[in-house]
Amino acid sequence: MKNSNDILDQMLAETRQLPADDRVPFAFEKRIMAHIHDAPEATTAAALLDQWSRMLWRAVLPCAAVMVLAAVLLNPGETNGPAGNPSVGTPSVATTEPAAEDDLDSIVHHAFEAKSDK
Amino acid sequence: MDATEQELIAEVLDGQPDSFEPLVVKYQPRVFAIARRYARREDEVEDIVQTVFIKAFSKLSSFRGDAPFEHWLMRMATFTCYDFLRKHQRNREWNATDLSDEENDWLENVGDESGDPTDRNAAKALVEKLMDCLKPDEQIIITLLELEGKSVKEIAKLTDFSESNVKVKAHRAREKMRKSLGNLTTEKYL
Repeated sequence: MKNSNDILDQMLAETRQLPADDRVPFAFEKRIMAHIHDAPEATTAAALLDQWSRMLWRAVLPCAAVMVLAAVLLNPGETNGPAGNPSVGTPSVATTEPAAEDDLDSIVHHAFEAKSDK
Repeated sequence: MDATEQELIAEVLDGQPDSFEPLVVKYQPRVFAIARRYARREDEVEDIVQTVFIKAFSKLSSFRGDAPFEHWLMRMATFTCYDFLRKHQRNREWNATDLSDEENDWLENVGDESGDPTDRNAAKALVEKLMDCLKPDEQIIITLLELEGKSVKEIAKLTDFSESNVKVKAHRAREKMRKSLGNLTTEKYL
């Protein structure tokens, strides 16, 4: 009994010796040409789209480089905010929560007041 | 590249699509042979070949002519087959009970030193079964390397994988096939 490596080698070698099956169905080229004639606009549009997408991909790197360069040259130090005004550049923390708490307090307060009035 | 081929391409690009027909006639047997390596059903094979030629027609403007048209077309055929395999991934593990009589006979004869496993179609059917457990890229590489006899360098050019990647994928694919074959034969003789 041979090992599986030898069997695999022999299997592949015998498959390789089989002639390539290059039969072509009758008038297959006519079918392809009919497709090409039927949809010339589609194939042209596909070609244009393909060319356009390739151009866009090529433009990605230069555009990104220009963007970074422009950001660095036009706004030096902008990210830290101007000196002397620490509030600029820091995110404004939402104040809705305390307001909501105030609202809740005032509602409870009103409720107690209304009860004591009665 | 043939002068006539170059002229035909120039005519197609100049707005005469009929000049594409001689190119189809010339190369369709080779494209059919490639497609039949990957697709089993004849309707799938025809779809692949049709896609290859329609793609070639629509992208003809991107053919620069620095390599032969045949290489450009075969590369396109390989990529189309790769797309086909990705869409129709089989991922099937075969059992010994799935084997035909001819495949069983082939395996029995190959195990016997005095045997004569000459049924090449059975060997081919077994290879196809073993390939079902491979990923699409591994199938492409093992077909090009083991069945079409292409070199690692040629495969790297055809598939855009690096040479070392081709070697790694080929090794991995062979290991998977060997393991799958081991399972088949163990099951068979248990």
